Amino acid sequence: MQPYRRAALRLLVVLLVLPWSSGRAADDAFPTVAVAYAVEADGTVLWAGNAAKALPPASLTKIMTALLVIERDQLEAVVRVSAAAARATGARIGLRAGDRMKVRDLLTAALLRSANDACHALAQWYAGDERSFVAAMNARAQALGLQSTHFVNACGHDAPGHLASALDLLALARAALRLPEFGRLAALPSARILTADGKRRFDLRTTNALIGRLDGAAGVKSGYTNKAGKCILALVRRGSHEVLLVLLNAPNRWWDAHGLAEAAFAHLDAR
Amino acid sequence: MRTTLPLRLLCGIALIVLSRAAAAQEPGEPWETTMKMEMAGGMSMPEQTQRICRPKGKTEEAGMPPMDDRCKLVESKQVGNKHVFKMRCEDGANRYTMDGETQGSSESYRGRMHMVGTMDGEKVDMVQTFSGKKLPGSCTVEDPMKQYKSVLAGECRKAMDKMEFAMFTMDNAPCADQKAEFCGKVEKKLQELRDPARYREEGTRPETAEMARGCGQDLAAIKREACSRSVGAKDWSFVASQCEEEGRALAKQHCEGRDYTAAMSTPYAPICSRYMARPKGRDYTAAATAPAPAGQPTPAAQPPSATDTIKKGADKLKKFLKF
Repeated sequence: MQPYRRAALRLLVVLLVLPWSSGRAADDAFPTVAVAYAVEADGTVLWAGNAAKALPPASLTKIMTALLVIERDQLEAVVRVSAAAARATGARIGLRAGDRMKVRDLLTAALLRSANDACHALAQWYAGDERSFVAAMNARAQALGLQSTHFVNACGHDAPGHLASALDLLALARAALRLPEFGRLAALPSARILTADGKRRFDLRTTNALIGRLDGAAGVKSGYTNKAGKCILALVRRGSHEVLLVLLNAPNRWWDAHGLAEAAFAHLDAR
Repeated sequence: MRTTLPLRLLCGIALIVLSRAAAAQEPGEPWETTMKMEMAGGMSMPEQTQRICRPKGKTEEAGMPPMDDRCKLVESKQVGNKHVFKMRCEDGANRYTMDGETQGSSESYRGRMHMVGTMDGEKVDMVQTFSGKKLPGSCTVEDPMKQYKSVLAGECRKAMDKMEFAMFTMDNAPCADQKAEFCGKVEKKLQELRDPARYREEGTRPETAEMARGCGQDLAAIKREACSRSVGAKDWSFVASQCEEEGRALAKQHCEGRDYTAAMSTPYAPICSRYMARPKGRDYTAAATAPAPAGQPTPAAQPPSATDTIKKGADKLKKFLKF
């Protein structure tokens, strides 16, 4: 093959691959809203900044936890909460060692309240221990083609190497939202769950401030850790349109997520 | 702009029909004619029925291809009692072809014409169907101008009922002699828009701004009154969407410095949403929702080519009829 032809082919390969792998195809219209962000409207990324950069995802991690648990399809199974799960740090609902909870209820707590005790209980139920569960998470991430994602723990605590990109998180959320049970739980403004014996009850209110405040807000998940900062992955539906957005380390996440959703719908309306 | 296209086409077709009208004052036959237009993309003109007086013995001209110096007949043949034709028309920005067929007798005719091309830079794909039948009795054929005025009087009445501003307010409007009456109606209607609910419904429509401008009414002043009333009525949703000045002041007072959950849980949520949920960067929502500064029309209400294009249609009509 002649050298110039080979060079042209190489260039073509680079051009074909670049927009998909770098996340630079979308317009960085809001460079200061977050360390990384991406806004997708009706399946097309409208605006994104640092969207392929691997960053701590905080509790957005629990989207993967929920995906695995729902895919196992044993939501009525009963889980015995271990002492380790009950000791989980960060957000929690106050599960006690020995509490018996339905998988569906633990999932509700993990998604609505971002409860790490419920999340740990699910991971242990699923795989026997957290390390095995994390391996399952990474295998599922690989299967989904999430190239900038690597999990080190089940629930999103800061840890070296526990990372995901904004674009990967959008892809993960899309996969999870294909499961009706995930969509239903992630959109709940509040819920009441009980221990299996019905003796203890937990009234949960979502940590997603957009639900009930932003027209069309339909869930998904918020997160916060020292390293990750304030994060939000939100789904907003209006009429036949759907906006999915993710902000990683966004100091003003609620106002900005709200504003970005409005901007995306305005953009769709103007088309 | 698209919405004016049928009107322009109708003007053009009216020219053609009138062009074949007879010379003044001769005996004729009453005919009932119908015409319908359908455009690609779902737009259409409903069937128009008219009674006209046609010169005796000139039925064969009815439904014949329209001719003017812009069009060249490239095909014309008789197949049985059917006449088939094809024309190519070219005039500056207008390039289109017309295929059609007509058939008729001394008692009736019907036909169809398909027009494809561009007109004033817009794509046109339009099918016109027409028919006519002779009615019993006799009549006197009037001159084309008289016929035009009679038809126009009817159209002006309809336009008055439907508040079609362009027919009264544009330059050389066909119904300009009734502008004072039309503007009286406009003034009354605009006064009703001081009510925020009515303003929300009609005040933001581009045609309302055009109507007000055409009649020299100050829509911005009416909006200010609606805003003042909405503040009194605590209609924060209206204030957020329409009243920039009041909205900003209220946002400063009730939203700034509060966290999202708190601010959005107050009655001022629509205002907080409008003025606080503004991520730094390009402003996409402003173009879509922000009200225009007082006294200025919204971008959508800028004198669009609507007026220009309708005017163009009317000018063509006038030019054709030489009045």
